[in-house]
Amino acid sequence: MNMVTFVSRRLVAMVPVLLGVTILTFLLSHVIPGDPARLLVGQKASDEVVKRMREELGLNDPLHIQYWNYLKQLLRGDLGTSIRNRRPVVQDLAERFPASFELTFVSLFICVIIAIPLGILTAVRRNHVVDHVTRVLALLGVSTPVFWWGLLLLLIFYFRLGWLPGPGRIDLAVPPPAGRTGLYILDSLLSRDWRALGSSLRHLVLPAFCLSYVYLAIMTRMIRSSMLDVLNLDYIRTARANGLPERAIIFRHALRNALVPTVTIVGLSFGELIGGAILTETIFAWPGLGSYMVDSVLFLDFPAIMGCTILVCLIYMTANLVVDIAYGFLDPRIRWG
Amino acid sequence: MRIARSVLVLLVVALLVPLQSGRAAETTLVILIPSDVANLDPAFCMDNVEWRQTYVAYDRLVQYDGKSTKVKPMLAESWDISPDGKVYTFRLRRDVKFWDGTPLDANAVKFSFDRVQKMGKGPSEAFTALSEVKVIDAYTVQMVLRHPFAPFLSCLATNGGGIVNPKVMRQAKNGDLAHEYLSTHLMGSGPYKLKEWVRDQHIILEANPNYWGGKPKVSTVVMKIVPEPGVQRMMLLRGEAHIAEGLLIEQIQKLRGEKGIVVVEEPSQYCCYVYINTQRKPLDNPKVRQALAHAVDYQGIIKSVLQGCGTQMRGPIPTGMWGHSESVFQYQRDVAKAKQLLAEAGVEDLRLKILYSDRVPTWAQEVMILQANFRDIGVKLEPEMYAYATMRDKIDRGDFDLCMGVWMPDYADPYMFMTYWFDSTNFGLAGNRAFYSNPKVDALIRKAAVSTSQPERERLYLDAQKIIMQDCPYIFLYQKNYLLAMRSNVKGFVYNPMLTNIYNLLDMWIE
Amino acid sequence: MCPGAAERSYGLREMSPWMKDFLFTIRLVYRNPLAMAGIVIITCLVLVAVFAPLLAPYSPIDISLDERLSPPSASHLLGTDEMGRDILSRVIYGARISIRIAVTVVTIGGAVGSILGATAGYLRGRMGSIIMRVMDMILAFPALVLCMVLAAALGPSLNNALLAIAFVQIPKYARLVHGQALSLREKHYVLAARSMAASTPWIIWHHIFPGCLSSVLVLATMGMGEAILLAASLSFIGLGAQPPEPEWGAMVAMGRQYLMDHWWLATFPGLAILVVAVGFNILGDALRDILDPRLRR
Repeated sequence: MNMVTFVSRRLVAMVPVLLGVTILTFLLSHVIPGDPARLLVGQKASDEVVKRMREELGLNDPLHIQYWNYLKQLLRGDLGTSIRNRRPVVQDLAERFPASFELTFVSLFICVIIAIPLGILTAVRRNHVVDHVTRVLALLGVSTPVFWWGLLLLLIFYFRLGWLPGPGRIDLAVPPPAGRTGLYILDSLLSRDWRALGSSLRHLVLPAFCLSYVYLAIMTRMIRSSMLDVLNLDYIRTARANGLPERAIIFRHALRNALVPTVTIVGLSFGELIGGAILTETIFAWPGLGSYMVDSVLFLDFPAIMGCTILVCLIYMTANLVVDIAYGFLDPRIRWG
Repeated sequence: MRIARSVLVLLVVALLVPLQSGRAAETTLVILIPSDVANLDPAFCMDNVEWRQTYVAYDRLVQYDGKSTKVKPMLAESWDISPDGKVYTFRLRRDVKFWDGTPLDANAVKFSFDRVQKMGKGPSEAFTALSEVKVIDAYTVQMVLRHPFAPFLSCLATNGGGIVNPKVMRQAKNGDLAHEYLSTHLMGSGPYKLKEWVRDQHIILEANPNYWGGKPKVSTVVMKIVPEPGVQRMMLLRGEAHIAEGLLIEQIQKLRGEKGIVVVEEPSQYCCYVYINTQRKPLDNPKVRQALAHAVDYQGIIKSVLQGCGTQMRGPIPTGMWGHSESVFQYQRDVAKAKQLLAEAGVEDLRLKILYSDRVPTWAQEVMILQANFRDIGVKLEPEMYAYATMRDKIDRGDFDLCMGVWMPDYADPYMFMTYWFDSTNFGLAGNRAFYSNPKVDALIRKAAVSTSQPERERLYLDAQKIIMQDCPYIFLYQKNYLLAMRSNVKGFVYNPMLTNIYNLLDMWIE
Repeated sequence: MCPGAAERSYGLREMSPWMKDFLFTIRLVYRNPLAMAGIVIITCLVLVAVFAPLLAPYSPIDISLDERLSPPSASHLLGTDEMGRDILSRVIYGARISIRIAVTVVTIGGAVGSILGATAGYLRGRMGSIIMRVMDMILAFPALVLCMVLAAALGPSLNNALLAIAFVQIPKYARLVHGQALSLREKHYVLAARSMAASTPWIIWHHIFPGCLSSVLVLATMGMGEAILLAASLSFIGLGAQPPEPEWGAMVAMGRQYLMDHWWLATFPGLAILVVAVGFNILGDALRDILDPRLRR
């Protein structure tokens, strides 16, 4: 099967899953007792005012009509209007997505560049001191609550030492880079705005490190064990027997194959992180999808909740798809099918 | 590979290059706020955190005078009130222009009030008595009331009384009276206009140099959204922000005496109380309610939760509002009396649920103290925390035994407390959250609402308060002091109890 | 050799292959220091939880406003919190909640997930693919949204949070078991059972489940640590355990507000979470090495 058919097949298979997700979210968000109309008009409003508001929001229609209307909108690419701030949900998401994307991407990037050498080292020096120390450090990462790390990092590097900037995406005094993507690093690179680049990079360091530490453990372990698998295979033994230097064996022959499962983890983590970095976002005042989602749920902002869910599911599934495509490139034995 | 490496090097270099003066110019005021705001339409928004932006963007006919809750002229130079208290005639200043140069005249005033009423959202509640706005001439406007309403002038100073540029109607869509546009834009004549609003990051206001009341000294005001209180405190201490709104009381107390920081503490009318559902058995028995009120350790709550920054309420009208009287009965912790009252009511093994949310950070602590207090009189209290939206829904439907609540007046009149809380037509979220109904109280407060004589109203309210304290539909916990930590180089801030979260930016400056 | 021993060894020979495997695993665990360390930590946790009333010097919920925020001292070894409650006592009682979290989540998630995965893997066909598509859906669904919506609907409580966490764990087990079931169903002893007209549930119960047991065990062990961390995160945003329950995550969340002045509030429950999570994780990690067929013999 060639790649195009593979991808298009997978895309079609996404549709029922997405549909299921919309139904699930829709049902869930509508069984919640609580009236967004009430929240909107303020606590001193009379019943009359609330009633009018409910009508305006279409909250009086029967559930299946509301869902049908929503689906029709969805097909037009319209996620509805946020009840909370009366803005199109699409617009809200479009503003927050780049922030989340940037943070997630950089975190995973840091994670991968640390995890690969560590994973190799621990595999080669299996059961050595290095292996144990790495294991403990990595386990500490996965076992410590994120908010704990976040506050500690801020306290040390921002408050006490002043090496790194505080919360937010960019310094207040620095205008955000001009550009369309909303990804500050990319935009500032494209517009050659070095000041914005420096500022946004520095703002990224702490939250990205905070997030990546959690995934470091998983990834290091994953690379370690797949390295071990590969190093036991016949072709490596043959290479060794032929007297190839160990360095060449590891980097040229073993690593590539050992990376296959790592790609899976990276892909899945990406999907998980993009909407799940809520705590990091709260602590670092990062205007991402996670905190938007929390606010929406607390306000019972149905259109926003659904918009978020659909977006996060889409990203998750896309990440999965990309992983599968990457498999084909990394491992010629795996065919797209 | 080589490209990747050079990009990496570039990134590292960019990271290390120090910024030339990362600090903003000193005419920029940075205020840290815990969350983004939702809506800026003055005919729509009801939250003080939204008024923080709108109040300085729109002018009103009258304004509060500094710290006091009395009003003084703003757009209206002077006014007359007809002897029957139903017709108000305002003469407007002639030198006021909207930001776009349009003169602010009687038509703009009529437009703004008509818009609030047509929209019929929260802010219109302050103007239910208003029947018609008449343009007499270009700079004279007349407001006709349905019935005399003493607090009317005070209502005009609320956020909903802001005068909007009528040209906004060019942005109207599908008959929404430009609501969508005004939700995200400001279009007034005030000292500050909206420069930039990046969701979940910051809101930037810039000074209007041509303001009729003089050019503001602070040229730019940045509201930066920082949700985590500990981080806000770090930023304030490092001098990267001037004012931090989201700090907890303990943190503020720790900041006292810190170099470069001042803590503003002023009595406010932010009241905290417990709603008792008077329709539920056995809470429909006043004796049971009195017993609960006698069980509460008021001073303990104020000492621990508020760190002493508050006072126990005496009756429903807080100190600082006229109508408050020291002669009103105040419940004190008295376990023996409470037990006796419960015995008289014939209630044993009482189990109650208390509803609250994490919206107000101190509620969780207060609930725990109440739990311990009630245990002392043999009442078991089960906390029930819900999302704020859900909690409000439950309050409205009366689906609770006890519930935590807070209230802040919008305008300086005891009406805000008496009518909203006790009139039996206001059941539920409208204000009477205890579902309390007493015809005698109804009669007294309804008479007071339409009377224009303050001494008479004071007398009526006092009588009502006496009955209410015996009926005990609420547990009146405390009146919290307004606490705000700011850098000591911020000058000129004046707190007005009607304007919590709102800054008198026009009079403020940075040294 | 005494007759009993002969009988035992005869018994061993008669055991199904998975039982032998399982016993061998236990022997390996004994010899692995890391696994033992994990077991010691978890045993301590269980002991602390069981004997909490004996170990705790104070009540975990009684407030004492005069003693609020006092630093660690002889009378309060780990200090007191913002309500004057003894932190040591709360951490000790918190062990009970943590065990409840770990066990509930893993039992529900693991059981439901394994049943679904085994069924889907054994049956294959349309039924199997429908089950796995639903699993994909749950996997794609942001876990926190689900938790938050459940909490908002049913009221936030630890039980609701656990239900939500367990729910989102189901697909992990289902996928794992599904993969193994696919290969197990081709094994000779399964084919033999099928040819003897054994019912589908019987085969799944007697042959498929046991075959997956060891890898489910690894996932479950790691999952317990994860569940505790997830519950802590939910408490952090106010959707998990409710006051005055001494849940560690809720304690850290409350304590973080005092972190700069009263470090002990958040530190000790934070350490408790850390130690227990590390315990589960190293045990799971070691188990994985032990159960890895390539590394075990």
